[in-house]
Amino acid sequence: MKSYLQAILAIAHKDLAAEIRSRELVSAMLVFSLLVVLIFNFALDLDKSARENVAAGVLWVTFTFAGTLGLNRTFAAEKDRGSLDGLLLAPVDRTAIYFGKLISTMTFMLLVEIVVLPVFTILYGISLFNLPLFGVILLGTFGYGGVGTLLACMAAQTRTRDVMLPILLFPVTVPVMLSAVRASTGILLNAEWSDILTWINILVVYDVIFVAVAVMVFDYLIEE
Amino acid sequence: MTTSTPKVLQTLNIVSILMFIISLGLIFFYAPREVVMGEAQRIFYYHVPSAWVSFLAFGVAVVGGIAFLRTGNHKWDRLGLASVEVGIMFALMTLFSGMLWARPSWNTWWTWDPRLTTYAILLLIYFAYLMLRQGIEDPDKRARFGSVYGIVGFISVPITYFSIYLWRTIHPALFGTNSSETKMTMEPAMLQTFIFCNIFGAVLYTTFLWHRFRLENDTAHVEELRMKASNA
Amino acid sequence: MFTQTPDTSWYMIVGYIVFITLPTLFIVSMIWRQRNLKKDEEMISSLLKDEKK
Repeated sequence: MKSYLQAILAIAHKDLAAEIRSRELVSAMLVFSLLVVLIFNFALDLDKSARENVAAGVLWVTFTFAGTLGLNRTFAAEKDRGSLDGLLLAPVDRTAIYFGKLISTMTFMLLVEIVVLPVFTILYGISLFNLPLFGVILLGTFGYGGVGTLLACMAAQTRTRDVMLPILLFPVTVPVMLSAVRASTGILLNAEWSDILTWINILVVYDVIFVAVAVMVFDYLIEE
Repeated sequence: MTTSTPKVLQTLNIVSILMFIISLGLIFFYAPREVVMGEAQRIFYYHVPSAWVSFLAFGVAVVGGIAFLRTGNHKWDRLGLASVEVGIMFALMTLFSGMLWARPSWNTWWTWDPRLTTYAILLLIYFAYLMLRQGIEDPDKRARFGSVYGIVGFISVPITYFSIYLWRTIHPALFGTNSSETKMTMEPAMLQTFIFCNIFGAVLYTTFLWHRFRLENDTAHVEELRMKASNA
Repeated sequence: MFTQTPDTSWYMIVGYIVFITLPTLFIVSMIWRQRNLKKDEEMISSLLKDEKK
């Protein structure tokens, strides 16, 4: 068990250390996110009340798109440098690779989200500093990242690579998007807690089911 | 090509054609015209069977996927692929006929109600499945990835449906009518026709699946030959 | 109040055109693919025979 956890942390550490050195990925994700927020400002001409209804949606679309960037890089880099083979030689359960990658991807997404939130607050005039909201963001990122890591592993090994991931990912993560946006909107508009909790419930169920499925099938994706 | 058409399949071909002709006879000459909707209601007799057949087809694909992952026998993956293609055909029939039904019923070509929205997403998932397979050269990897994505996709559908349903219950549709059941007066002749068409749907699915499966087996056989030729 | 049953025949006709066309296209595609396979098989088999000579 201990070596399993060590393997997970080692894999996550490798990706995170590489990123700290180059800082390419997070900065790209960040700039991209800010651009998306900007574009939405022009795309949707919103008055104050409309903004409150739509803010969560804009936020999650931003996270989704930026997340795709992060996910694509997670496995693409491995394939290019052939380091996936090195990982496979390690005498540890293959799913450690899945969890390691999931941790690093989530870290990148959360870093971006942490920066986007205050920017969003300033630009949209809606306070997003809200503990329940952070919880929803965490759950949503986990679900999206959980399925995303699995599918990114596949997409990285296709001819079309980067383009393939959104095609595979978006239809399957509709429940995450919908629940996260509904829960976030409910929190921002101070809706009934019972309503919000229903959405959080769906998020949790989704996260559990799909991470479980991912663990069961991940082995089949990295046989050589 | 590799084998001649089995007797059972030949029989199925004939049965399918016969049932097709009979179904048309029942639909247009036996079943009465429905009072509220008029002639368009007759779409119902093919629309409903194609809908559940498309779900059946995708279910079979998941079974094929799981069986392939567990046994490594490629025939399961071929069955899965065949079923997805046939399923997409039935799904497109369902979708277009559904829109042609919706227009006279609810005065709109489309609504974003849970069933329709989830169905559109299902179709997108299966297109993605085909695209995924197209983008992979290694046949073994193609089969494995297809199986995994088929499973992931299929599992997501009920959750997607439920979350959209919940959304529409808490926030009822802001535009258009909530298009659950349309009122339809159902007479015995209609029910009989309906049942017959459902059975026909199952028979037709089996026939198409079998033919497509055989085609896939032949395709695999030729690919093997190709490998042999390029290695020789 | 009973209103006249509307004339929705157009929708029904287009609907059945869809029901006939899609399977027909599928069958045509399968036959077309089968024919191509046959051609490929013949070509490869003759290639293999030539190799053996």
